[in-house]
Amino acid sequence: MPVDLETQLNLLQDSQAVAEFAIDNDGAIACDCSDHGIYWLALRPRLAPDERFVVRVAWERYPPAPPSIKFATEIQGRLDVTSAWPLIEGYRAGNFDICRPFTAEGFDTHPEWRTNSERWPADGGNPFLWVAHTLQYDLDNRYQGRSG
Amino acid sequence: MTVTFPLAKGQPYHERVATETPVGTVKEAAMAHFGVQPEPNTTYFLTHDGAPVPDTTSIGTAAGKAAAVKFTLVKELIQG
Repeated sequence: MPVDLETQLNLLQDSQAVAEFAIDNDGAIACDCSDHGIYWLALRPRLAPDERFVVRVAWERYPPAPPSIKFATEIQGRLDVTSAWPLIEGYRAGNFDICRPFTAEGFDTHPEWRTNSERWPADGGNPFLWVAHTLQYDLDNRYQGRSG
Repeated sequence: MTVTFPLAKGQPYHERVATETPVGTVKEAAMAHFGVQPEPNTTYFLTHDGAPVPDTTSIGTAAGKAAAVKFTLVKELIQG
C-alpha cells in the first residue's frame, strides 16, 4: 500500500541527507519508485571494506513511526536469506529482524520501549538519518562477520 | 570543531576550542546546544570517522594534523 502524501514529502526532504551520509561512507541509497516508503541502503563495515550489506528500510508513516528494517541479498532482493545479515548483537538473522529501539520489529517485541527512554524520536531532527547513522555505527563498531 | 546530531532540529554545533580541551567537555556543550537531557539507562558519546572517542581524549588528539574536526553525537541504544 503506498504511503500517504505527507510521508512521501517528509521522506523526500530527509532522504537527501541520508544519501549524502551513505556516499560519505562509501555506500549508496536507492528508492523503490513503486512504493515511496521503501529505501535500500548499501553499507560497508569500516573494518571490512570488501563486505557490502544491503538494508531495506520500509516506512509506513514518517516520521511518526519506526521503519521495518531487513537485510536483503541485493537491492530489491530476497529478505529471507540469513547470509545477507551481519553478525551484530541484537541483529537476529534467524528471525530476520533487528531487536533494537530503532525498528518496527524491535518496538513490536518490546512495547515498553514506546514509553521509556528508548521511545521512537518522532519529533526530532531527521530520524531517517539517525537510523542510517545507527546502522553504519553498528557495522563499524559491533560487526563480528557475516551470518552463515 | 563541529558536532552534528541527526536528531537535532537546529543547526550543528560549531565552536573554536583549545586543542587540549577534553572531548567530554565538547560533548556536554553539544548536548546543551541540542537540548539533549541525560536519561536513565542512556548514554551519549561522540564519534569521529565512525569510531567512538573517549571523553578523556583531547580535541587535538582526535583531530590529528587537521585544523578542524567533525564529530557526531551518538545516543547509545540499549540491547533488547
